[in-house]
Amino acid sequence: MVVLEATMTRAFCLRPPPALLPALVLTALVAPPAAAQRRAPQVQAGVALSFGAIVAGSRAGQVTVTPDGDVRCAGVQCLSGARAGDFYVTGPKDYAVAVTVAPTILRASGGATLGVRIAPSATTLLLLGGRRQTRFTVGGTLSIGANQPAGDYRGAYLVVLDYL
Amino acid sequence: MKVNFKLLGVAGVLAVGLAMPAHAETAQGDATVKILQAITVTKAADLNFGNVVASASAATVAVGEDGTRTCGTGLNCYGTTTAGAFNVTGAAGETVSVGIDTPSIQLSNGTQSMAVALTTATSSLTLAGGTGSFRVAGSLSVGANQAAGTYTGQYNVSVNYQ
Repeated sequence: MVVLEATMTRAFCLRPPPALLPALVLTALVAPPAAAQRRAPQVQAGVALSFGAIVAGSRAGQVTVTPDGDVRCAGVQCLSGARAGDFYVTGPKDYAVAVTVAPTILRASGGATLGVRIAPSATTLLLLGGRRQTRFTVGGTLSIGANQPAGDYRGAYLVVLDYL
Repeated sequence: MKVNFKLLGVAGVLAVGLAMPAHAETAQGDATVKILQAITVTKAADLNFGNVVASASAATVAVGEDGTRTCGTGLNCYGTTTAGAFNVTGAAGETVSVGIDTPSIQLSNGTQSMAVALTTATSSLTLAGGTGSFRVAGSLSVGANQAAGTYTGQYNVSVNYQ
């Protein structure tokens, strides 16, 4: 930052044409401040989100696992094994981060797919700081088709933590 | 109008300083589910008590799961007997519970009836290769001087994933 400001001061002394201004702004945005890099929060995946075992039927259904781990089953029979997933975030104390999770698709070895919307327990986190881990959990809603093919379905989803 | 370009320049630098760039960290999570095929149960054999000649006193005829018959005192039993039998299909390796929904039923010839108690020794079943089977035994209460006729009835079983 210091080097950049020095350059800009010099540039304005020379009365640069206005067209140069956007270029300078762009440079400032692209160069990440060293401070932000040093304080970057870290996020690690804990246990995987599982919808357990579900008996598919002749009609479509929907299964929701809440971030608290509660299971709501509609149209299909839910058996045991469902649990919420969790993540652990470390970073500077009282640092605010925004949590976004992307929807994904689970696939079975036979090629069948299932759509999942993922929901985090919190969309913003205030970090505990130091080595302490701030935990958040994720649930999801699974849409099951009529006569969904049997199989072990698996998929990955992306968790994004945004911070300033 | 006189514009101070130097002040504008300072304002521009301040604006650049205030617009803090956003950053993002990402992680990947896994999600899993096991979808099981629905269970089907089909009847493989009717429970059949064969032929019974009633007597002046009440007695019972029992058919075990192996199909063997025990004929009550005073009764005369003959003909083929079979235990009830069911085939189950479902997810391979899964364990299912087996139950008789109607363990006490009545057989009827249209006007007269006889009671049957149903049992099965199978309370759960592991579907090795996705299939399994179980049998149902019965005990028929034949009344004194039970009216002649062909007596029939129905019973229900249920099989569920555990």
